[in-house]
Amino acid sequence: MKTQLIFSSIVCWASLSPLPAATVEAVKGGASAKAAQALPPGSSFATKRSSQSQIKLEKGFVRLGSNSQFQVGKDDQVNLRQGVMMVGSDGTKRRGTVKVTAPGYNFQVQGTALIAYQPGSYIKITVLEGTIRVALQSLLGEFETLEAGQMLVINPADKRLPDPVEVDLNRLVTTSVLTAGGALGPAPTDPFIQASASGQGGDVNDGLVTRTPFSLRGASPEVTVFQLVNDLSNPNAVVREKTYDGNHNSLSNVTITRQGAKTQELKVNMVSQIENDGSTTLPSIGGNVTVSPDVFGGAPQKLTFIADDSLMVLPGANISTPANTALELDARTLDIQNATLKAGNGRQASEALTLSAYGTESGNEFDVNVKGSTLEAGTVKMQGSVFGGGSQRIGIDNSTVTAPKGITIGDSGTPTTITVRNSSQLAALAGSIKFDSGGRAIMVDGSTLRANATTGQIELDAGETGGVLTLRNSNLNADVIKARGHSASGDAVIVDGGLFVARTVLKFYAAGASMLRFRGNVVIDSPRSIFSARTVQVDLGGTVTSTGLVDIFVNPGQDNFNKPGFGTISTRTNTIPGGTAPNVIPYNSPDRPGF
Amino acid sequence: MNIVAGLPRSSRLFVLILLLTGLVIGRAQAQNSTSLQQADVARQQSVAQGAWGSNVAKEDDDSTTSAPAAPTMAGDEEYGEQRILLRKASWAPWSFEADIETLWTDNVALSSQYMEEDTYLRTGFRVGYSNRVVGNLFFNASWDYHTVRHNEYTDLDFDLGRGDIGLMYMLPKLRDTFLVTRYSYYRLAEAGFGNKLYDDHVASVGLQKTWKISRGQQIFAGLYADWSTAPEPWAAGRHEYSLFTGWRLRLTDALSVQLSYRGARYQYRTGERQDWNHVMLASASYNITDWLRAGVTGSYTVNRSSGAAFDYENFIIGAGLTAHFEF
Repeated sequence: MKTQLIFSSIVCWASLSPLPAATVEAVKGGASAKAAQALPPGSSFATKRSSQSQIKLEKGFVRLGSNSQFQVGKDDQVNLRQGVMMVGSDGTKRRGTVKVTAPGYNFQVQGTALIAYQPGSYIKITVLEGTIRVALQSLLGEFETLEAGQMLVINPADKRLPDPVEVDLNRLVTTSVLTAGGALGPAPTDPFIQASASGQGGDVNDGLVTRTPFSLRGASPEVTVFQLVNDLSNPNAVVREKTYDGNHNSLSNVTITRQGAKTQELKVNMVSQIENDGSTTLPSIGGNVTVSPDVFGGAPQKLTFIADDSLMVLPGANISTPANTALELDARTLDIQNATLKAGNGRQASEALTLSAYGTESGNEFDVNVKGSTLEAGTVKMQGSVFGGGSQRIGIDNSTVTAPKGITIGDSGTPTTITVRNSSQLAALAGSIKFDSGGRAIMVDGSTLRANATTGQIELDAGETGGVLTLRNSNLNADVIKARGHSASGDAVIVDGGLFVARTVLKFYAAGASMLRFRGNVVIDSPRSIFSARTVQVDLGGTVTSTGLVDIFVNPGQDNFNKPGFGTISTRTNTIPGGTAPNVIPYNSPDRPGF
Repeated sequence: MNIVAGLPRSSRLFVLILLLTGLVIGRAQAQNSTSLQQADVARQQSVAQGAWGSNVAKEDDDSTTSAPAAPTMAGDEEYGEQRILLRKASWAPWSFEADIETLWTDNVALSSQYMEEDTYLRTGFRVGYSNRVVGNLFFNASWDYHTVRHNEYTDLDFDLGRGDIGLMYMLPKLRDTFLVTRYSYYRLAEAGFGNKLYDDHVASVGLQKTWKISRGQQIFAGLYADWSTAPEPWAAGRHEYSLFTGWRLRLTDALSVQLSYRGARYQYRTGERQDWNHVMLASASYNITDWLRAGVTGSYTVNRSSGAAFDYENFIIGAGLTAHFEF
């Protein structure tokens, strides 16, 4: 009976007495509780500025970074309030589980994870070792289990969980304040963390995992990576140029802000990075990259990204500048895929967008590669550079280029192959479009070029002693259309199908002892067209139909059209009563207009 | 009362084929919770066991992505730098599966009047190959061999061999609906690699689709037509026109449950018999390890035939283990 009473008392005491679920183990800096102090269920713990702390749980531990806070819940539960923290579970073979909650989410940690929580903005979880199960409370079955190296960034506004990405554990562990390198020293689970990082490193060495140039710094998905700090303290002063040498290998989700004076031109230098395994990570830009309008002052204003190697603008990137501010990307080669580049509001001439390559990359098809992208500016210019040896290749593939004041691709002093293809659309509705390949080939394939219909000109010039010009199934629309190619003896200009609308005049000129060749069905809507070549030929089955007069300057006997074995050139005016047939004039006639 | 032993061989065969249908359906639907979403639950074990469409399902993940704009907070930089890595996708086209399952039925002979219960053991293996051909087109092939051994009515024991080969095409314009075409060969034999009782070459075409409610919760549905082309004996052959739908919930990484229904019209080649067949199924599976899972199932079948003698109802419950390997 007495024994029973003792046992009952123990049970009663045990059930009524609140066992401390957590104990403060270490405090570096300031915190709401001191080391060795117990934290009963329901109590909160917070760190101060530039402080870190470690709390022992029944089945694990929590490390908090600066200005972070959590509440101790029942059953070893950690209720996030705000900040950056590391949560780990005890155990060796069979890991314990630490339950973590945030409003709307449950986490079950069987390992070690870094968690950042900004209420109303985001939750970020990165698994350092073991696993963590992340569940959305509001939707049955919406959960996922993350493994070592996986990271999840959750927007509380999303109704589903996003897909995880994998991050470099070695890099994260060596840069996080909460891991071994911080004031708290190695975490209790540090051997497991090192093993996970080592395993991932092995996968990198085995080629199972590759590094991307994309990285995030800090907890926030969107970070101000740097601030422009000018020497002049007067915030209203304006310096002409400021170069930012942050040794940035990658920029992602960056908003550039200002301290000190304004600047007219801001140059951001980006650098390639040599990895431990000897490989090179090229500089890259991803996410939203913007500049606060307050950064700039005076005129003209310009933001320039300069890379010491090939620069990659990653899929989904969105680079923009404030109103009246130009944007320039200058690199050995440029690879822009599924991205958006916008200078200012895209209307003024001062809002120029320049893409410039000063070198070549033999493994790539193009040195300035714009694919699946949108470029929007007052004017757009793409060019190569003789300083990098010339012979660059510019490609616009399935992209939209809108520049009301004009589009210029290439320049006469730099030999540059130009290719526009795959439903690309180039529009300069208040200006002109000019391709000048400096004597290299030009290809426009399945695309649309549109300049101002009353004053604009489309000039495609592969040079008088240069390369072949090919127009295939494309649509050109302007006041004046001029296209010229060159070949020593073969095809200089190939027009294969397409629609050409020129309000004033259209010119197809083949320079050299070469041929202007038509294929397919070519439709010209222009009051006057001028074809000039030693040989003008329409391949059998092909037709060239014009609404207006057509003057053809060609060597006698080399007018290979409107006769057996060849296709036809007809003007709509000669297909009706009183119409006029094409005028065939000797090539050397003094009446032949210049290009 | 053993109602089978006394039957003549032709009648026994008929009962066996009926049994085959019931057992295959029961097994197929109990087999795997991913089965119903992907294939004809009744006749395509390879699909039912998850080979069909499993490679595509991984690409059919329409989960959202998140890139919130957010202010920085104090201590933000303490988190560290996260360099993004890219892990090579690995696809194991070959699969091998072995399973054992014990089941109880309240109507072992699928009889309309004399319902007799029995337990039986189903064991077997399956080898499969599945891979992308190009773009949205996928190729699948498998070979399956199973034995069924009854506790009491041993006359109903049989071996079933089956081969499948087919193509599956994802239709993005129809919200990733899958169009499936397939050729299958069935061979039913006496127990212990005995004499052939029945075989057939079946051509199938179907549409199937999955709607994701959440990562672990989905509804699926499909339509199939299976044409019997060369049944032997002829009288046992039948065409099947079926639809199925169901709901699947993954409760944890290891545990999932499923409810489903399949309705089918059977047209026998003789032209003298047509059936309406309805199967309702509930199942649960638990992944013991990455390669071993346990499952329990319960199904209820109602068959209504133009010949009243072929009407039956059948309740089956069972439990089993499946080992699954991919390489």
